[in-house]
Amino acid sequence: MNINERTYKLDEVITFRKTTEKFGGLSNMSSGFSLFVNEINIANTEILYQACRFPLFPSIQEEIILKTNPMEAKEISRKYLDSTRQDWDAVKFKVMRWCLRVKYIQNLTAFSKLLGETSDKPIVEYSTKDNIWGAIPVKKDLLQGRNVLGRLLMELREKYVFEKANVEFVEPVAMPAFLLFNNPIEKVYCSDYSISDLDEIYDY
Amino acid sequence: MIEIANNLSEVIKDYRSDNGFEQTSEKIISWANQFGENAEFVLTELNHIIPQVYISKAKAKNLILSHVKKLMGVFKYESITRFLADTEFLDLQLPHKSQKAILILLDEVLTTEYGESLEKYRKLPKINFVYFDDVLATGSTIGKDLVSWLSLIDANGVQNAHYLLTNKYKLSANLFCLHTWGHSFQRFRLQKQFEDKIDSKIYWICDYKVENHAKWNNQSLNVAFPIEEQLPKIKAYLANLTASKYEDYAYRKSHNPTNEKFFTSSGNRIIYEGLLLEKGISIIEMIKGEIKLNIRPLGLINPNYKTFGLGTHFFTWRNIPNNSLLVFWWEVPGHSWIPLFPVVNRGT
Repeated sequence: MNINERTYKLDEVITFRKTTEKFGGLSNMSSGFSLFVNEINIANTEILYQACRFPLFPSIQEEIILKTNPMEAKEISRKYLDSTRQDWDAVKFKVMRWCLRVKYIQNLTAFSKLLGETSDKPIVEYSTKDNIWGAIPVKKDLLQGRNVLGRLLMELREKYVFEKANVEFVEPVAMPAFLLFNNPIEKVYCSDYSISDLDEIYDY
Repeated sequence: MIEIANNLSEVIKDYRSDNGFEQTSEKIISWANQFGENAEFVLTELNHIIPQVYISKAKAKNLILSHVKKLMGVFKYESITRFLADTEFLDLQLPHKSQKAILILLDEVLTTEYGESLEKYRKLPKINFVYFDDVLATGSTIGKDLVSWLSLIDANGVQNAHYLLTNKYKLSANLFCLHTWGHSFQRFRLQKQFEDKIDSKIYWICDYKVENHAKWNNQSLNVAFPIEEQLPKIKAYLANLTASKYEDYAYRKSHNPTNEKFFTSSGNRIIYEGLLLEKGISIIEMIKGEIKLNIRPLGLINPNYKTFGLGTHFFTWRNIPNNSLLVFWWEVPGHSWIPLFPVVNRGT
C-alpha cells in the first residue's frame, strides 16, 4: 500500500486526537466500540490491531487481548517487538483496514453515525510526532503526514456511508498466518449475528 | 466393575435424594451396561471425571459460604450485618429452577455461620445485587435475566444499568460453573445491549471453569468435544443438520488440549467421546416424529449451531444441565434408555 504524504489545512479538515473530543470515536483508542472476532471479546480496535502483530505467539496475543486499556495493550506489544511477524511493515496497513471494517460492522449504528458527521471533509489523525498514521503540525494552521489512519477512515466512509454498500460480513485479510490463538481469523459478522438468536435454545 | 460403581455411587449418592431418588451401584451398572462391552471403560472414565465436577449439597453450602466471603471482599464489607443490609440476592428465576434452591441454601448457610437470615434485611434499600445460579453453559438464562434486570426502571425513571454504570449499584454474577464459550457471547450481548463499560462493572465469580472456547488460547476443553476422525454415521449426522452457524466448533483439533487432565488420558478421551457421541445419536434416532431443533447428542444447544452440543460434564445434587450429554439424562417412555441422572420435565 503506497500512500504519499499530504498537507492539510487545519480549518478545512476533521481532526481527532483525544478520545474525549467530538470525533474521538474515530481513534482506535476509543472505548465504546467493542469487538467479537472468532467469538473472542476484544475491547477496542487498537487491541485487535496489536494482537495481529504476533500471530505465531498466542501467549502474547492473550496478554494483549486480556487488556481493556489500549495504552496498556500497546505497552505489552512494545515488550515483544522482536516477535512481530516478519512481514508486518508490508501488511500492517491492510490489517488496519480490516480492523476498521470490523469496528464498523460490529458498531454499525454508532460508527456510521460518527463517520457521517464528518460530512465529506478530510479526516486527519492529529499527532505531534507520528506522520505515518497521522499528520503533524508543520505550521500554525497546516498539518503534514501520510495520515494513513485518516485515509483508511475516509475510504470506509466513502464505501459504506456514502455509497451505502451492503456489508454482511468482513472477510479476513488475504495473507498467510492471519491467526488468533493459532486459529485462522474467520469472517466477522455484525453483532446481531452472534446475539440475536442466543435465547432460541429454550424456544423448544 | 462393582468397585468402580461403588466409588461413583458414593460421590453422587445425594443426587435428587431430596425428591426421593436413590442412586445405587446397581443403577449405575445398569446404566453402564447400555454401552455393552465398553461398560467398564465408560465407568472408569466417569469415575475419574465425576469427582471433579459433582456438586453435592454439602459442597454447595461450602461454595455458597465462600461466595459470601468473596462478595464481602469485592463489595468491601467487614461486617456481615452491613453486607446483608445493603445486598439483594436476586430472585428472578422460576420457582423450580436452580436459583431458588441456591437461595434456600444461602439462607441456611447464613443461619448456621452467622445466625442471620435474608428475611431480616429484605425490606431495606439495596445497593449491591447478587445473581446466583448453578451453571452458565450457553449463558442464555443468566444473559436474559441480567438484561431484564438491568433494563428495569425505577420510580425516578432511572434504569438499573445507569445506576450500575455510575457506580451507585454493584452487581455480581455468582456461579458454581461457567463455560468460557457461552460467557464470551453473554459479555458481548451485555455490552451491545447497554454500554461496553458494563463489562467491567459486573463481578463474575465462579468455582469451576469449563474451558470450552475452542478458539481461545490453551483451553483445557474439559467437556466431551470429539475430534474429526469419527464413524461415517456420526459425520453424516452433523452434515445433515439444517443448522448453519459455528460448524468450526463441531470438532476439536486432535492435539488440543495439550495437557490432558480431565480424562484419564488423551487416548481414552477419544474413545470415550466417540462412544458417548454414537450412543447419543442412537438415542436421537429413537425419537418418533419431529426432532426438536435444539437436540444434539452431546446436549441441547442453540438450533442454529451446527455442532454436536456442548458436551457438558457438570452435575449438582438437584439437577444436571440440559447441555449435558443425552446419555446422562434422556428418559422417555418407550425408549429403551435408562439415564444415569434422571431429571424432571425434560426429553421428548
